[in-house]
Amino acid sequence: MKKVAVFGASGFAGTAVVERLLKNKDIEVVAVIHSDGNAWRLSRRKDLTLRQVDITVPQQTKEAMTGITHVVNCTRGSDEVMLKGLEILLHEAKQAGVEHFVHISSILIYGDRPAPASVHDTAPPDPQGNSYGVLKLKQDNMVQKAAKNGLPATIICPPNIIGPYSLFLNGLVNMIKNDQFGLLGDGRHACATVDVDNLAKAIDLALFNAAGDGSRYFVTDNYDATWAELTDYLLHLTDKPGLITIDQQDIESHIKPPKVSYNPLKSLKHLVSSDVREALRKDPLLCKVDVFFRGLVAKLPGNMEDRVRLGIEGPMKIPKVSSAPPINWQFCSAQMRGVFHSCERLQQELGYTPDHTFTESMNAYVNWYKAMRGYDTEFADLLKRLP
Amino acid sequence: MTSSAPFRLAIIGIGKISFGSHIPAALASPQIELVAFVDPDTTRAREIASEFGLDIEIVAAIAEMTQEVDGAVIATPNHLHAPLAIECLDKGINVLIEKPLASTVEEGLQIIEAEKKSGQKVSVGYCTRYYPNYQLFKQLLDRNYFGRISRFAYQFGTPGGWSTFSNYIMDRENVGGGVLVVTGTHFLDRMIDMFGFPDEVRLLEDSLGGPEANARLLMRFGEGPAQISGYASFSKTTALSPGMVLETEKGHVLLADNQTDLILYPDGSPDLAVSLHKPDRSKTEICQFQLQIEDFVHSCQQDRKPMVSAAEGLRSLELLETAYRNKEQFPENWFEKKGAGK
Repeated sequence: MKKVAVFGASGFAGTAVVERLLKNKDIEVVAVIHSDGNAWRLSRRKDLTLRQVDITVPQQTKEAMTGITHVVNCTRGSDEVMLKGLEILLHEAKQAGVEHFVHISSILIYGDRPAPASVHDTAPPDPQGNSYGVLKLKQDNMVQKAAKNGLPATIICPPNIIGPYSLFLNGLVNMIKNDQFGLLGDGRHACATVDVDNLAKAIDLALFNAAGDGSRYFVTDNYDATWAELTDYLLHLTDKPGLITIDQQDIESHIKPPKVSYNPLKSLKHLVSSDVREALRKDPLLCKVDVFFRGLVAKLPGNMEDRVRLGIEGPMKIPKVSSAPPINWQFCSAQMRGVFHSCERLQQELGYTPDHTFTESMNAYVNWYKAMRGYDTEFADLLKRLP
Repeated sequence: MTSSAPFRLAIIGIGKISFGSHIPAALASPQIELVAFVDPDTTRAREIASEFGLDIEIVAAIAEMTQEVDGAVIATPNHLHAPLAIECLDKGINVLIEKPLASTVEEGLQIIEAEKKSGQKVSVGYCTRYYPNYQLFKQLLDRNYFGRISRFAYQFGTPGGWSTFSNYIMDRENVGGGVLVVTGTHFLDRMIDMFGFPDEVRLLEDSLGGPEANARLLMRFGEGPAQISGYASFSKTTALSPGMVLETEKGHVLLADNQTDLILYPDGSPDLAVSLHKPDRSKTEICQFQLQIEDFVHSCQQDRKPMVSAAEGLRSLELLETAYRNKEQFPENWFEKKGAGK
């Protein structure tokens, strides 16, 4: 019997993978979680045992690999978890003689503005400084190295994950509600998506059918959805009459990284500024020293005290208060990615076909969203009054 | 016991809730002297004591405690509440029991019996009774300020939640249920305090044999013109802005959890929101765990009823049992309602 350990089982993708694998009676599933706080969706099942493991601790990971034939890595977390944790996972999986290791990557390994060639998963990745993309690419490289060194491994690379419980869609609904999302132009820009069950299916196929040579496969709903289509489903969940529209120039002007300049004089002034002195005055000795110096400055002739203060603090700064919507420009810039990723190789080599269409997935999300919030009950009018 | 002497307190069960709430509340309270920790994991209890700079007695069981104590906080897994509370009461120790009172009504009755026999006080840790705007709402409700209430809807949801040290929360037997017990019981306590025990209860929940992650209650209180229909939803998978909206004769009332103010939206004035609060907002800054532990101390010292008595705790347990007896499976057929989405 195959024994599959799903690490990061309590996450959105991990839970879907566990739920899919549990339907196969030839597989024993071990759901590995970091802590019980987020594992409620899984722990409601009587047919599943949860195993708590910190993957950054080699001994715990080694013990969790006992008898395991296949591993799925859905873990997320700090840089330490993502890099050191993965290193330990790969090492212990190889030591345990695991037959196949499947790792979830992200299309952010192609950066915020992917090259047109990244339609295909054979294109060389370039995270272009996107910090999450850089981290995910480091992980992919580690998995590919492990594959070269004898651990059969495959990488599955999803875009935005949709479907019931989708964190991406939840975030987007909240942003629409709070005027933080603006639709770029007429919304015809590409929004690559994969339903979470389709992702779980791709992982399942990779576990038992892939060559294990470290290949990376895109997985999508095999549908070229646009942001207008996607947000049309979500707008109905809010009381907004329509979406705010923005243009490319708006985005570009807002996402320029602020210039960081090092000025020793400015730093010195900051050290003696009232903010810093106020914090220091909490110590009785430093408070006395501060009182002494302030006394000295007060004895200076004329308006010297004011001039010293102005020299240190600078003139009063009144920040601009805007009534414009608080758009999340960084998120909105994702509409400029402009690439539909293709899952052709996954289809050809592993026989992938999506179980759910984009439309089915979005309808399911809307059904789920309404049911979870009681919008399908006679109390909907009251519940919609809650912030 | 004189009210000027410090109240000598033991904490039984040194888990996350004690670490994060009961110990800081006890230390912040001028009347309380923390004298002992009781936990089978004495190593962890010792580590936590040193985190707070405490040099106190640390023992694995109540029987090993050599310190004289006036009261104890019981903050253990739910199925241990009853035996530990009864052991304390038999020794003449007052108890503040973390919610719920016990795992079952039967155990709750045993605690009440032991309370009567010992003459000691039992208080139940429904700390949300101390939410400032809840206290204000209750005061106004008792004065019939809002007139007739016809409907209310409450929700509380977090995607996941805090992790326990012992993982007991993942075991339905230990908890006595799922999210309805862990999260929902706070609201059930307040709801009974506001409207009494419901005449009809219907529970939809998503347990597949383990603790449920989502629970929805549909309730009816009274009948005829005075009838109130109620909805309450609790989730450990989905973020739901915590609070209650009531349909009243004066308009809609928004009672967001743990705020100083409540908001009245008068009928016929869609552009108007009236904020109500107690005259002195500064009095609302003390955390509810400190208010709760101080109420417990005062109830012992002044021989009066605590904010939430064992009898009230029992009512919540009865409601939990009634709800679970009438439970139905929460439908999760999101993909089956084709075309229903948009």
